[in-house]
Amino acid sequence: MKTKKLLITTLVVLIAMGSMFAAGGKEGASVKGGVTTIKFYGADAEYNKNIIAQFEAENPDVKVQIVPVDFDNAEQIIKTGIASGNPVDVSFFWGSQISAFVNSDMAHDLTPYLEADNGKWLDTFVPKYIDAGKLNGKYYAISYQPVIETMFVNEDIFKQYGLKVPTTWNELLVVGAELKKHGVYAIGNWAGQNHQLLVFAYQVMANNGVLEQAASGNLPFAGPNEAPGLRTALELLRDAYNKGYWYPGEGALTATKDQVQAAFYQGKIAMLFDAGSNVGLYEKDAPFQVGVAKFPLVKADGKYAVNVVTNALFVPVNAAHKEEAVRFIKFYTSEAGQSETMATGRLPSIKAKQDKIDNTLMQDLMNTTDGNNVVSYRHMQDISPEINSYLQNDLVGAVCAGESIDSALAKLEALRVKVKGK
Amino acid sequence: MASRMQSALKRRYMVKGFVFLMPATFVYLFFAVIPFLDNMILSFQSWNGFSSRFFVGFDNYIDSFRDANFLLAIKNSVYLGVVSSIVSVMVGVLFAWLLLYVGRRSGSLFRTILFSPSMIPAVITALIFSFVFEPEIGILNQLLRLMNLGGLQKAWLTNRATVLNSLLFVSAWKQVGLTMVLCFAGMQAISTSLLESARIEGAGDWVILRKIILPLIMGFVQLSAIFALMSGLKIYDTVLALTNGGPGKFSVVMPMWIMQNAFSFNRYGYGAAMSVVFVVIVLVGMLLTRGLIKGESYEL
Repeated sequence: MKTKKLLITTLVVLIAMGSMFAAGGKEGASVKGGVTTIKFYGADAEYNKNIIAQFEAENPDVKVQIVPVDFDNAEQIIKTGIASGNPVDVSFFWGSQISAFVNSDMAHDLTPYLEADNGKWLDTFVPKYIDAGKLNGKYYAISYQPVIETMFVNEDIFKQYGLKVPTTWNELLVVGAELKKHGVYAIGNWAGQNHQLLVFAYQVMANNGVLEQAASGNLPFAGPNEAPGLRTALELLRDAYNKGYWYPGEGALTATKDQVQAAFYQGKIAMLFDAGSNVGLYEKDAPFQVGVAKFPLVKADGKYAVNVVTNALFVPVNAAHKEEAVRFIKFYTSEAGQSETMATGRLPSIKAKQDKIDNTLMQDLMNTTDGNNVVSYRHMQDISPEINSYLQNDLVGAVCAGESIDSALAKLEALRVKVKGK
Repeated sequence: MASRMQSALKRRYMVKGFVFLMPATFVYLFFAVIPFLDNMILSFQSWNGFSSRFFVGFDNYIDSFRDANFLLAIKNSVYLGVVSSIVSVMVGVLFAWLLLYVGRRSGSLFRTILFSPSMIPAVITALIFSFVFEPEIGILNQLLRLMNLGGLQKAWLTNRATVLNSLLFVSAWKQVGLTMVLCFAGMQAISTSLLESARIEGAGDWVILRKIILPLIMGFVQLSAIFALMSGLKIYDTVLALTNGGPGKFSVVMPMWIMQNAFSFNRYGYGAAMSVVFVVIVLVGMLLTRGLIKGESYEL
């Protein structure tokens, strides 16, 4: 009996010791011989490796280890890391969606760093880009690249069939019908990036003077006082889907990025909705003349709504090496860092580089943000993670697959009420 | 003297037993028991994964039964679990029965071929079927075109009417092999003299299957049905890779909605409550299957 008790006690003690050892130990591993290793959740790409090499040469006391980013599941992965108590030190995320972390107290406040020395660092940025990562008066994400949602155009197709790139939705329908006769789809947009389809909703909101209120969730999405915009956009998109103008017809709602991009390269899609950050990619890989154009206007003389999404870096609130992380972000957004990102077709976020864009397509992309009718907006996705997911993945697909617009908007409204109240 | 020796021996065995048990106990405790208990507690709390947890009573459970997406996810998961287990058990038993009549060498070849889907990881299965169901160049639509049945072509994974049944097909396809192997093992254990005497008495193949083989392998059928049911209820990665719950939320399944709430929306308490409901559904499903398919043993 005694032996049994002794053995049970030993077992419990061993388990407790094991768990203590398992919980400890992770901290010390990242500082060795005076060199701190920080983890960076970012693209495992050449430009990042170049930036890191230059940063490490200037900062011999810091090493940067890339943890390759999974853009599709970035939010889940970063949050899991933070919740586990072992996050990366610097993380990629979209500046304009940083509320997903700020609302859960998961992002470190970077305002003191930006405002130090009379705002020396802050002044280096184009205000509208750095402000994308600002929430409740504080900066939580440092934008290194504006991402302008745009339409990539296969100019060869338009030349071949003697068509003009549509500037209004009605023109798009005419072009769509004509292209369909030749087996070409007018538009391409893959599942999971439906925020780009909502540009038409923002246009209608802007035309009705309710853009800011509606996009921030301060107007109902459904019901008697429904904000204009979403319903119109859903009707237009459902119409284009039913007419078979959206690649690859009925399968458009679940088409993957690879499928849609491959079809664009093969000349099956005339206009691809995508983030402007891919301008370098399409310019390099497409076997035809690629152009950049504004999304068609829902109303011929209406407003053109442009988003202020940015690619950004932030520091998780419980990151182990915050100071080193900020040093790295400072370097990343310095002229040296921005030169590297610009070399791969990415637009700069700092003032010093704005007049150094020498690529024609990148300039065309910037031009889509200019004009008397251009207004900017913040994504509705910022309202809450649930709304983000619903808009990004479900809303358009549900309506095109047969759910009534009333029912789909009522679901969105229920999510809005959860956050904003009635 | 003898009893002292016996008790020393007993002690020695006990020590050895505890030593061998320790690693497994450690793993089981930390990776199964403690997380499960913690999940139960969490289901009564609100927690965003970072700030402190606080009790909210039954709020998470009440919310879950008011959540249209969760109810839809339950419906979809139960449909996939129940129907895929029925289909895979029926087809698996049929394959096992046919294999009984095939020669030993070609039998093992067929067994390997039929069992192979069960060995393929779910994500690879999804990748294969994404090519099968692809609306433009997918094998299924190509086949329909070749057979002059172009009118039946569909975007199988985008069409609201076909998406669940397409997923069901994938789930059953994966399960059939395991069912077949289990039932075949059961059939092989049946004495050949029993089958031969039935044949001498004039029983045909169909009667032998119904009256002799099936009652004798019911234990294996029950086990296969439980495996298939659990696999269908827990289906996650295949759905994620094929439809991501779409179009809209038409093919959302329970594990997917639980994961999304916990890890994307930071509603860990709510996710925990839904996972408890999920566990209860799986348990009830298992008990019902056990009750419906009675596995009895016979002396052969």
